[in-house]
Formats: sequence, structure tokens, C-alpha cells
Amino acid sequence: MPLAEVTASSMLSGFPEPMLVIEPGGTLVFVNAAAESLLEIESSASGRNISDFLPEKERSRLNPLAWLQRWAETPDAPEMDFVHLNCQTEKGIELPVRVRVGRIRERGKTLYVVMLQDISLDQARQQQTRDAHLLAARILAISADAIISADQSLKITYANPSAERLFGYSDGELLGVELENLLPSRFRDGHRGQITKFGNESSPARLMGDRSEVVGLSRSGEEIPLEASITKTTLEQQIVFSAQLRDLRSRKAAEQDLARSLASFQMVFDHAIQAMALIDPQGVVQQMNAAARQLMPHDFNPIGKEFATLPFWSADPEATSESLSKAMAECLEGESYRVSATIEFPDGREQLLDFSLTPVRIADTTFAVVAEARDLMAPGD
Amino acid sequence: MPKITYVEHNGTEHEVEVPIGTSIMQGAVNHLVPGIEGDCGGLCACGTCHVYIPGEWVSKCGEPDELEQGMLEFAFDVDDSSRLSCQIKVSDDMEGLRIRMPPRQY
Repeated sequence: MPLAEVTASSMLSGFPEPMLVIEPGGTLVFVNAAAESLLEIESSASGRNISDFLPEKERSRLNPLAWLQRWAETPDAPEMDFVHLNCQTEKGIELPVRVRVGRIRERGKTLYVVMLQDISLDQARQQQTRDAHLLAARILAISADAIISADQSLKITYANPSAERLFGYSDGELLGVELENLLPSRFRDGHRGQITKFGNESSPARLMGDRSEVVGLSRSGEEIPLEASITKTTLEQQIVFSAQLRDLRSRKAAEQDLARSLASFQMVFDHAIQAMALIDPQGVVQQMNAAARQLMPHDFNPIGKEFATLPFWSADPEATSESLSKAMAECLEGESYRVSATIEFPDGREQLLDFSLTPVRIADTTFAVVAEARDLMAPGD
Repeated sequence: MPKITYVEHNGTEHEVEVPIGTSIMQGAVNHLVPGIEGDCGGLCACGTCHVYIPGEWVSKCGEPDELEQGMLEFAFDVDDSSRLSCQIKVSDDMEGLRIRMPPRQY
């Protein structure tokens, strides 16, 4: 590449970034070594036009010379950071490049100095970052749990849609809100202290289950029991706190329903006049009511014992045990079963009882058997 | 808030409520609508929020100014209905607007 005509090129020839010097008409007057390598130029490029290094589709849609001129006039234009051109190497490979343009005067002639920067790697990296971000954003958007981030001053910087719903705010309204507004006032002081302490701890996270419940406050003033995991991340030397919050209201309601239903069952079971036992699928007695315990020796605890071999079966204990085991097996298949057996009272008296075994099933699985005993000799029965 | 339907190049539709005064690009970015990138954040400097506006909506969305026309040169698959969505502010008469997207933004 002859340097004699353009002294400016001597400064550019050793420059590590690809540089071109172009006349206003697009003719190349100088290409440095880095640009020759980027554009895969093997012989001289001098005298050729910049358009030769643009792919057909770029040539047809934009006027590179007009843009060179514009960028040379406004070197700080915002698009300089974002716009890229696809150039085409001598071997026909397309490369995305970022372009910087300067204008110089050389012996009364205007020339453009163009610096190219290969951004194919940047683009691939950007794409990866964008994909990762998109994936994370999608996961946050559909999360059933509320997710909230706050900065060091405990102002909310992010709230996912579940968080907005949970606390009764609409799209974007939680941004900038003090985190404390989502707490009942009696917890605010304590919460501030806890967050400060967590911020100074080395542990990066505290997880649900390891933490006790917290209470949130919705916009309408409702207190919401919550389970929380919190974590901290240092971004640009600032701590960001993030919490994942799970609404415990439905779980609490279900627990209460269950407790009520258990208490009702227990009351009915314990106070039934008929002798009753609850037996698990392995045939082991889980519960026995007061009426049934009266059939047992006083010091005998039937819980955890096999029903078919309880010590009160009299006459032929082995045969009774066998028929009861068979009855249990039938019952586990889902059939109610009736069987008569003689039992011996603690005082030695014997009595023929009619046992009904009824399976307790949920979704075709027997998880317990209720055994009821009726006295066949009892009056009116 | 007007409901705007963003139609991806593959036909996937996203109906989104966009607050009046924000840009169509911002509406897409805020709701994670794929296919509109908005790299420069709405400066009309990158050409990565390119969309197609159907003819019947052109009067409501306006025509691109010179700067936008220049940036559209860098967009992919540009035609007469091309706009940069960061330059279109949502107004209350845009209820039901359907915009289409190019196959890619780069």
C-alpha cells in the first residue's frame, strides 16, 4: 500500500483496529493491515469502492456514503452505539461491524477515516444475554409465588405479576414503593433490623421452611400470612434484596378445615355407642373408641396391634383370626364385609358379635377399614 | 388503556394493554412480547423495534420523520408500511390496533 500520497495513512497503518480512508465518492485510498485482515484482502484494495465490501442487500437498501457523511458530522450521535453494518469480505463472508467515522482534510481534499469493529462475537454474547434474560423474565412472569426485589434503601425495584396481584396493585404501581408499605405497621421496625442484619451476613439466602412465617399487608388492609425465601445479590456494588413470597391463606384455610373435620370425626368416633376400630391397610389397629375398649382387658392397649390377633377372640382364635384376615383382604379390595366372631370378655363371659368391616377409600385406594361390632343377642337388634 | 395486538412474524398474537403516552415499543418490551428488541431504549437510534402498520392505521400512527426514515434503512425487510415502534406514542384512538413484525430485527 503506497503511503506517499496520504501522509495521514502512516499514522493509521500500524493501528491495531481496522481502519480505512475513503474519498467522499467511496473510493478507498488506504486500508491498514488490520482492515486487510478483517476484510480478507490479499492484493491491493486501493482504488476500489467501499460498496465492494458491502453485501448486495446492504447496497440496495442504504446509501453508505450518505451515512458516512452524517456520522462524520455527528460523531456522538446515539445511533453510533447501536447501528451496525454488515460488510462483506473479499471471500464473500458477511460480518457485522460497528462503524466510527472521522473527517480529515488532506491537501485540500476531504477524506473520511473509518474505523471498523468486528462485533460478531459481541452479537453472539448479546444474544445469549438476551435469551437468558428473556427466559428468566418469563419464569418470573408466570411464577405463582410473588417475587419482589428492593434496593438498599428498601424501595421496591421489581415486582412480578403475582406480587402485584397478591398485594392488590396494578401493573408497575409497586415500583419505587417503600417495602414497608407491604407490612403491617407493628412489624416494620423489626423488619428493617432483620433486613439490615441479613445484608451484613455472609449467608446469601434464607430459605422457606428455615424461616418462620411473615405477615404481609395488602393495599386493602388485609393481613396475609406468607412464607418467604430471601436472597441478596450485589449488582454494581449495591445490594439488591429479593424475596419469594408464598400466600399461605389457602393452606391455612385448608388446615383449619382439616382440623375441624378431624375434631368432628373424633367426637363422633369416641362417643359412638357401638364399638368401633379404625384399622390400617396392613390390618393394624390405628384407633379404637371407648365402647370397643370395654371389650378388651383393662390393661391392654390395642393401638398398633394386629386386629385379627387381638387377644379377645375366643372359641377358636386361630380360625377366627383366619376368617378376619380374609375379611380384611376382601375389604381392602373395596368390598364391605360382615363376619361373626365370638369374643371373650375380661370376666370370662363369651359373646357372639357381628362385625362389619367397611373400607374407607379415596380414588380407588383403601387407606383404612372401619370395624364395627354389634351384639347379635342384644334386644331389638 | 388501549388494547394493542402484536403479531409475530410466525403469526403468534399477543394482546397487550398499553398505557396512553407510552410507545408501542415500550408496551411490547414491558410485556415481554418477543420480536421487538428496542436496544437503544427508544432513541430512534438502533432500528430494532421495526414493525409494520396496516394501511388503515397509518393516519392514527402518523408518518415517520426524516430521522426515523434514516434509521429504517438499517432495519431488516423494510417496506412502505414499516415504522420504528419507539416513535409511535399510544393514544386512546389506537384501541384494537394490530401491528405485524418482521422476521427478525437484526
